[in-house]
Amino acid sequence: MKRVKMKRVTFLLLGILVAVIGCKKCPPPIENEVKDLSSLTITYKPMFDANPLTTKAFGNINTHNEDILVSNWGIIMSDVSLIKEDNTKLKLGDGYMYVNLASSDPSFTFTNIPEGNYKGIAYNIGVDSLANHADPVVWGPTHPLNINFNSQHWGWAGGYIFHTIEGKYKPSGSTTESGFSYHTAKDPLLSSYEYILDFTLSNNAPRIATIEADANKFFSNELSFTNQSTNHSGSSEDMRLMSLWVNNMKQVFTLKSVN
Amino acid sequence: MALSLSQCRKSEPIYSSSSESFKPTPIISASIFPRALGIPALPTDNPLTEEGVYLGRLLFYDRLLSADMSLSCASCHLQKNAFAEPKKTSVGIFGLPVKRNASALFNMAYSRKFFWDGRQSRLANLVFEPIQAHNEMGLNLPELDDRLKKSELYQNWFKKAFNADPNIGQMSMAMEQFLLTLVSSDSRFDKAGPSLTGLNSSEKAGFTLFQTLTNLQGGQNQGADCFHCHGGILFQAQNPLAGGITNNGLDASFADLGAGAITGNSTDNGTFKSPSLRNISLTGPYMHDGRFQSLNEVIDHYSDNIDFSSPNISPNLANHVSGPGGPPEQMKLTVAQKQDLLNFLQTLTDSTFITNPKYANPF
Repeated sequence: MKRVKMKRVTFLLLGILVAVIGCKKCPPPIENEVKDLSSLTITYKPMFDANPLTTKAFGNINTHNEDILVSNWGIIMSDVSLIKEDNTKLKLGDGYMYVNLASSDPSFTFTNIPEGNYKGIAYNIGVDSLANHADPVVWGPTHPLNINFNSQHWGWAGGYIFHTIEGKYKPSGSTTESGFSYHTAKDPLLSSYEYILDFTLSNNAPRIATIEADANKFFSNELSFTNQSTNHSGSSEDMRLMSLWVNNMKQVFTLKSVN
Repeated sequence: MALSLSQCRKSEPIYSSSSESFKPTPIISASIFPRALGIPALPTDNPLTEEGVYLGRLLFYDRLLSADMSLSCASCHLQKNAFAEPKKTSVGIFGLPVKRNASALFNMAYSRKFFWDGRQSRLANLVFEPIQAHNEMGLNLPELDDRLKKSELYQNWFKKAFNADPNIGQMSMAMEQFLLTLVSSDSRFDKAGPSLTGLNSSEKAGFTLFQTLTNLQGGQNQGADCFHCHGGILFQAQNPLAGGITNNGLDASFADLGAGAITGNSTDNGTFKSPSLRNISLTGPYMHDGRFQSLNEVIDHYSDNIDFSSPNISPNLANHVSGPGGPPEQMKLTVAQKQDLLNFLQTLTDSTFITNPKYANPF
């Protein structure tokens, strides 16, 4: 009798053990895992007014009648997020991203985003003061903040170049080609962007958000390459003009669609 | 047998040769790659091992890899020259001329574009090019495979590194491993640190010139604006769009299209990879075609002789203007400034690198 009881107890314990071990090994149901996650590609469409920006030839005539050829247009972003229905933000990945609008594929994709309805996309151009002045050697080889990856770090001077635009231009009425180089940097020039547009992410419908970037919107009365062809956010006058540049940058980027 | 082979070679690690106990010795990344240079982009499918690196080193120095067994990789990439060659352009087998100057080899673990035109993005693929090029080593791959398979030395070391018979696929992986370990970061400049301790006043002035924007708007220009294309801890822009591959105003028309010949884009014509300025005193002659014998000539070029009519010239050279909307102008450094710049560049020489026995000829 005792033996039978012992056997029953042993089987019971074994059963519990198998169940516990079994549970540990079981992944969550695949159906739920996939159903809950989606992906979003953010792609940039560089423009000049209503036309695609040409990066291989002149032909982009700005408001000052300067003919512009953009060869490098790099942006470091932080806190890249989706705006949820309750207006809180969902950070994508670690929130950092680098894109170059003069490259053949100015886009990036975030995966493993929870399904749901979202109100828009938000990010900063640049990084906060903490990241800007932290030791930069800790980032992985293809991380946006890696010191060698994208030439957006100042090197010995320290800090990141938040936004770079470089190329050549011909002043109004001239055929002479000169270079331009605008590097937005330093803590006060961190700028925030929010684009409001409702969209839904679901597992069977990865989405592509298209942000148009109209380079002609950088320019205004004081801002022309003829007036200043190089600005590296250095002197007080540089910073004054670069602040205007960053202010105009708000008009440069427009979320056109999420499809 | 394996032991006796091992003892024949200089600074060779000693390992068990038994394939049954195949356990290549992993290399800890931090033991090779200094923190200051950042985290390298190492290939995930080719982990560094002591055996793999040593096999790569053997192959790098072995003349077996050329058709007539007269040349090895090291024939044109000399350690004492930071693995560059003190010739205008190289000479391949049978005295055949090579079009371009042999590039220095170091800190490649941090790069994603190789060759002067940036056409290769992986070292394991790169190594096949000079081996097969008719005017370099001129050896076809089946013949190379056959030679390796017949070699007792390589039978032994492929077993140790990969537990495999010699084959050209893993040959390229071993060579990649060796090339990745060529790290140079121990120059006087590195030792000086951010405060430039130990550098003399001329060297410090040269560094200031190096990293200061050109200013031609009145008075003597105080900046040589080198940092755009040679900046950062590697002294080399890595992003092709940001000066990593660029045109530095050598010519109005191009005998060599550089990256343009690879991409087919006319806007890339005359653009070449910006080399690192580390060890620059050791790596002359300079430019893709070795046209400048000395660093003085290089500095003269950037100071006084840039051809601004050169198509696709770097925006960071073309923006050297003396007034609003004006045309680009020469920097016109003074004799003293040129000397300061030269003195600073000489602080980038890493004498440890060029004498490190781990990189030396193992034969």
